[in-house]
Amino acid sequence: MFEFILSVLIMFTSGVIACIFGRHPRKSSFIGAGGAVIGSITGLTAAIRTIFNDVTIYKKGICAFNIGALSTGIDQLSAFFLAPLFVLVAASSIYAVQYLKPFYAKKNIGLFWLFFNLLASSIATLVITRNGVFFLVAWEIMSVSSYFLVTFEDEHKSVRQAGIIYLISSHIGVMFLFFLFVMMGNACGSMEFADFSSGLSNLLPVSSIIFTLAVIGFGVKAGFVPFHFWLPQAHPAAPSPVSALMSAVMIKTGIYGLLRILMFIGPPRLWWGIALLGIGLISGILGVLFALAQHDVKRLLAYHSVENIGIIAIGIGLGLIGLNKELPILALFGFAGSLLHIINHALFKGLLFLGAGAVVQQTGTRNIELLGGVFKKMPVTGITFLIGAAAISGLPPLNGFASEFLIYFGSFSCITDSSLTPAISSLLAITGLALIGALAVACFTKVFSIVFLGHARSAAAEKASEPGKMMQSSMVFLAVLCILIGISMPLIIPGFRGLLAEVSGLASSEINLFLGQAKTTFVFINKIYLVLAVVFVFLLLLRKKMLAKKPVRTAPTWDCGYNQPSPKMQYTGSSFAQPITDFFNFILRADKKAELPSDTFPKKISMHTESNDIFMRYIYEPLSAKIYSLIMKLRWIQHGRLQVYILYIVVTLLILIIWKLG
Amino acid sequence: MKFALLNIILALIAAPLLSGIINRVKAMFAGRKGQPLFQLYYDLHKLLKKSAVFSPATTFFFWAGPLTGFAVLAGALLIVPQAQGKAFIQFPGDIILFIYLFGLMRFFTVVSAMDTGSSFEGMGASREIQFAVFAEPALFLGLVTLARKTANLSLSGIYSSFSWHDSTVLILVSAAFFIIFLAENSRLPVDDPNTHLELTMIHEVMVLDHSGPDLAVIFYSASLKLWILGSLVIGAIMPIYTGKIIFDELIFLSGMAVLSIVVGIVESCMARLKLLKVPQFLIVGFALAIIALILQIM
Repeated sequence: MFEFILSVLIMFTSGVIACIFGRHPRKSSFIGAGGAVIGSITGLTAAIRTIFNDVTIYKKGICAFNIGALSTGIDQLSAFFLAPLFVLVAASSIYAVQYLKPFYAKKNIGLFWLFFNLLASSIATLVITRNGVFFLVAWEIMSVSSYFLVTFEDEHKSVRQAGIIYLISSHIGVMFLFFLFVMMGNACGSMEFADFSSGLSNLLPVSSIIFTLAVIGFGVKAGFVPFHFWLPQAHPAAPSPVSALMSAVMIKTGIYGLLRILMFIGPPRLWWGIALLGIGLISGILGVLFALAQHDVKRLLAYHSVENIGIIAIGIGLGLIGLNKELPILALFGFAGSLLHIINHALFKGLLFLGAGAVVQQTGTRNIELLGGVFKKMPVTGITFLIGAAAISGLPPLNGFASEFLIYFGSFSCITDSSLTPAISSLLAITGLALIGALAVACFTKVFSIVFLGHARSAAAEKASEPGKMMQSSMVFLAVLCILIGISMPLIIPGFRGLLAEVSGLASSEINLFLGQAKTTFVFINKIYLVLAVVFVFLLLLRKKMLAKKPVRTAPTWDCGYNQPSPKMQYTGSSFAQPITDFFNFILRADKKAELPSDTFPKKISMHTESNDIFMRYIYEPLSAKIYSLIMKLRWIQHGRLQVYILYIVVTLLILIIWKLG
Repeated sequence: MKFALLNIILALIAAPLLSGIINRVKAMFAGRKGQPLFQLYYDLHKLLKKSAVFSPATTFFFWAGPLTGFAVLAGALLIVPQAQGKAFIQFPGDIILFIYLFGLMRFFTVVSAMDTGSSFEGMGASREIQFAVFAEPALFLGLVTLARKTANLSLSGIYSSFSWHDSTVLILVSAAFFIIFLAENSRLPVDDPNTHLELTMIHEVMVLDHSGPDLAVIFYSASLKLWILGSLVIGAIMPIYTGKIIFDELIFLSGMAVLSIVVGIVESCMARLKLLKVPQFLIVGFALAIIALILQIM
């Protein structure tokens, strides 16, 4: 416990000191990043020890207010969320040191580090806190500090707008959380988590309301469709290391909160599981479809967060269904898959955001249609980005495959179950995951090949070069972790013992059975990987030998006889994705502006597609317009005359006094 | 174990023969004499001896893609059930790995096609990916149906426990698999492997710039893929096992030969579908798998 509090303190203090040194950006970066890294290492070692030694600590707070003591505690669930947090904080802070260099003259770097370290330490705090009020305070610090990070480049109008949308949405979310904690506190007579777990488990009529509030309140932060709308706005606006941290770990606090609440409210009902499965499928499929239609690389990655949160929700949904229907295999594989996916998504999404940030910094554009051929200039970024892209597409032998495999396996095991609900839920999960997987491959082959392969489509892409060594090392670090987790699953899977006991509440005999089964399966999978590697290396050597003595020539790409190819003739990202986006246009509803060729010698043709968020367009914008016009009708109350405002106060006070006395 | 090893060796040797049979059947339908049965072997031999030409646009993905594709197919060959419904390695959940191996192969095929910066290859890659979006869930659904039917989670377990009872489900699933088989192997009516007009092709256009040994690996991989997916179809439609190695092997091989003849007949009698119709064709496969599943669950 001490290590975690220490790591929070180190990160927080270094952030404050970095802010004080704001006038010396180099020193400030050094202190801010240094504190973040040291704090992360302190916390990470403790988190890993907690996971493998199955430690649970609960410390009642020393300061007792009438909201309860500010208790803290560490259990398996906390440790599973802290581990990726610390990894990502370390990686993105090292990255940020070099990423921020171009901003030295323009911006207050000290403020960046203050909010960055505040964000990191507030996430860590909310994961280790065991008190509702304390939790909400940390939650608010997290939201507000990330708001200031999102609006780092506030000279752009789009950034300010994204910031406002983010601020509003996170406060709508927190409103539900206030209701949630007030209800739970009311039911248990305390805000301490320790009292929740004993007091809430038999509150049957209220538990469904609490579940609903949790899904909405935490769902806004996690990015469940239809509460995801802030993600594609805020992630592109934020500086890349911040997008990495937000997308990789901050949105997971929503999942953490949801799981925590589920642990309090007793045996799950069937509809909870089905609801989460449904939300997961919708988020997963819509997320990846919207991603496919984007041209802005960071916006695209943001939509993929929606997709991956969907996969996590599918796993939790299956887990709840499994618990309700007493199918331990479905429950354990579902929970294990989604919890592993939380860690995996943190790693590969963080990696992808850092990679995208490197490309954006080197070329000055986020529009993938203006890039191309970057791989030759930035090989390290390219390779690590490819690893991230393959991992997020769920391809073997990377970590994304391992977690999706667990969810698939649980579903396949229950497809043979005779009762209908688990069979149909599993079927939906399998089909949904298959569709999501295929679409993700489509999306990431698109991003990778349009950005990194072929010829440069603009001068900016032409002059790109590798980012600094610190930025590279962060990306390499995360990429190595993606590979390592993918191939060392037999070693990792035993670490799930304590966590699964905590989350599922199942007997240890069933958990051991699961761990054994999962481990044997992954050993088999590793054998196949080994064969793949051996065959590949063998072919590589054979090919080298074959071409060694022959004259290998270079000639232009086959252009069908046209003798002046230009980079503009390459396939673009939009054209690559067009068959799929056209097919799904009934969902995407993209705007198309086309100037088609008119006469015999057409002068100019153009085509522009833009895919805006349908939820934003058809739900939130009309809704906010309605609210706005309603509020405008009440504008006469607020006209700027101070004396009348004082009158309002006096009248209110009078009414209160009369009410109290009467 | 020995038997499964024999299966793999046979697959590695005989796979290129399938395209020879298909071409022979097509030639007969067209009233031509046609290529020799072993034409692909001659082609492979010739290509392996040749040197290679590379475009300056390409990076190492261009040649690493085909090698990865072959390595992946070697892995898939280990878990695909062939004669007697047995594979070299079997474990519960190998179904999932099997399908994802094809995903991995597709990822690298597409990346190595896009590496040339050519519009044609981009077009082919884009179509390949589009059709996979429809084919992959259908393949999963078909396997889900079989998993539920046989209460088994490994390909070999599923394929070795079929019986002729309740063959409606098997027929529906094999029909779905046949459609996926045609699409995944770039055969008519989804893709025309024979024309040389880039705009009408998918797989062939993606490898337009490859040459020499790389192209040989691609051709060989394509025929292995034909074999692997073919054995899924054959295993589902002809679950006949005598228990004697020689007979089972002969039944399986003749099944593959019949499958190639059927493909040849389909290709001779059908034209290529309009591109916009291909998703509908694949959705037919998806629908067949769903109907099979509903029959199985009821």
